[in-house]
Amino acid sequence: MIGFKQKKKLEQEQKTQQATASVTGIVSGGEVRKKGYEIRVQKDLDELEPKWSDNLKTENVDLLNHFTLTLSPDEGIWKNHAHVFDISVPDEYPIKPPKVLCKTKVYHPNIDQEGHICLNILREDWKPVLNLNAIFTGLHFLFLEPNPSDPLDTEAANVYEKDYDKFKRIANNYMRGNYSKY
Amino acid sequence: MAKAKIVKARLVANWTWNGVNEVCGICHVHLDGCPPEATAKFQTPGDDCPVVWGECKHAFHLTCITKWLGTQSDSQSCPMCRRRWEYSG
Repeated sequence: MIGFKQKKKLEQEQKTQQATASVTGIVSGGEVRKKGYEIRVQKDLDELEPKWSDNLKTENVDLLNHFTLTLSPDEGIWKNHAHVFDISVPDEYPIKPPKVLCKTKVYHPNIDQEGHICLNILREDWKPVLNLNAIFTGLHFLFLEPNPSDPLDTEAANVYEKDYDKFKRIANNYMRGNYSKY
Repeated sequence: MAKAKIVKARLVANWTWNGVNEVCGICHVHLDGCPPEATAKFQTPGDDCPVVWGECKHAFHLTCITKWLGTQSDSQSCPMCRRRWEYSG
């Protein structure tokens, strides 16, 4: 049986450990040590704007490295149409950016038919001070302001620049599940 | 007058890195703490986890900025402002 003093001492030790962990990110003792990216991802999740966190599903709660974001732009051609993004976080995060794929078929100058996305902060302009919130804001911005001067789908970019009405028509067809380009 | 005899004393000291009271922009752990490392052995804050400054005045944990610079082949830039990274003396 544990005496009162001993119990009190144990409690005190646990409290100190918790306090240390919250400052240093270090957990000593029996707990499994979390990987560096997990601690960072948890902080990113805590800082997410509600409009993203409300539409974010954690695919792997234990590892925190796979998410699904359902993004419905609040303006523009794709207004209110749900687009599903698959986000996987590498072990090297935040040194390396997450990999993002668009699972919803979309007619967009910067998203190709396989769902690859051309967004500067996901590639050449990534820097570790950016977080998931910045990425989601960037993805949303692609729908508000497509960037035909740096295209991934060159054909879509051409139509966007030369025949905006036709572009809107095809984009709308895509949202209805009709993938013809006329 | 009775003399006091000190039998036991528990001393507590406070420290902080000069001039920074913020989190590391890379790992988002406070600069006074340790960056989360998957492989490293138990680390203690302080000299084990030094903080470094760039010429641009941005501060990071040494291990964090080293990892970042290691992935950049040609131009080494500050993760905060993208200016050329030079360690500040």
